[in-house]
Amino acid sequence: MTLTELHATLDRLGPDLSAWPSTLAEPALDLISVSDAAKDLFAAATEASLRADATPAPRWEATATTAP
Amino acid sequence: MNTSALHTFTLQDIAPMANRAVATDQELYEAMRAGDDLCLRTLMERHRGMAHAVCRNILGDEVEADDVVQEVFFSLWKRGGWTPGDVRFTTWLHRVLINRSIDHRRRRRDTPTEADALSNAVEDFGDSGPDAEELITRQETADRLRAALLRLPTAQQRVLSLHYFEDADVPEIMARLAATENSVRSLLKRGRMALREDLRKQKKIWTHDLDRTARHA
Repeated sequence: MTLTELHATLDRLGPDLSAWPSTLAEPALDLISVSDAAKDLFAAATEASLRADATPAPRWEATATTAP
Repeated sequence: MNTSALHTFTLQDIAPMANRAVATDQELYEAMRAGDDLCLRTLMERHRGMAHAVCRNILGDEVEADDVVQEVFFSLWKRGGWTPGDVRFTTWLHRVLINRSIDHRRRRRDTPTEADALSNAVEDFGDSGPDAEELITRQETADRLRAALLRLPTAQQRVLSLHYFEDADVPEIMARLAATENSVRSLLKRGRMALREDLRKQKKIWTHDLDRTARHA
């Protein structure tokens, strides 16, 4: 797996490698274990995911136009 | 005991940080390396969430992720390892956590589980020796043979026992029983015929019993 492929797969499947199919997870881990750039990419994806989880979902409120 | 020396050492080497919450990672790290252990706690509190997420995403297990995080922070406290000015503290920390998690994951993959070990043991046993059913059949056959032997006349019984259970050949049986060759060969021949006949009769009874058992099952 290349760094570009790792980037694309992280975008598509998210950073939880334990949920990836092993045919993708194992090559990704092989790359991450030898490449600092891949490690940093994986850490950044994890951080982004953590931030997204921490952001509260928007609240939908009734407006004057929808109120009876 | 020289208490003043201890007091001087404490003041010179361990200067507790006044406000750890606002200190940078580098300040905390350097103070921790200088002996202010409470700075490790601040670093852990600050980075634990991200550290845990990185490990969990590789290991897929919350408890194992906690173990790796503890291991890495313990190693940080004991040996350090980060060189300020090289990369940011968090970058270095994440790389160490990732390496350690991958090691754990690979060790876990290479270590057979209890179920795997049991399954392998059963397969090995099957490859190298007879299976349980075959062992039982062999044991039953031996028991039937012994029972049939005991129903033979004593002389035939003795000769056949020496021949089949003690692997004695004709000259050895002659020597042990002080008998002639003709006598031993004759006893072996008649004994075998009687044994075969007895087993044939018994087989009819066993087959009948087995059929009856099967019908009633």
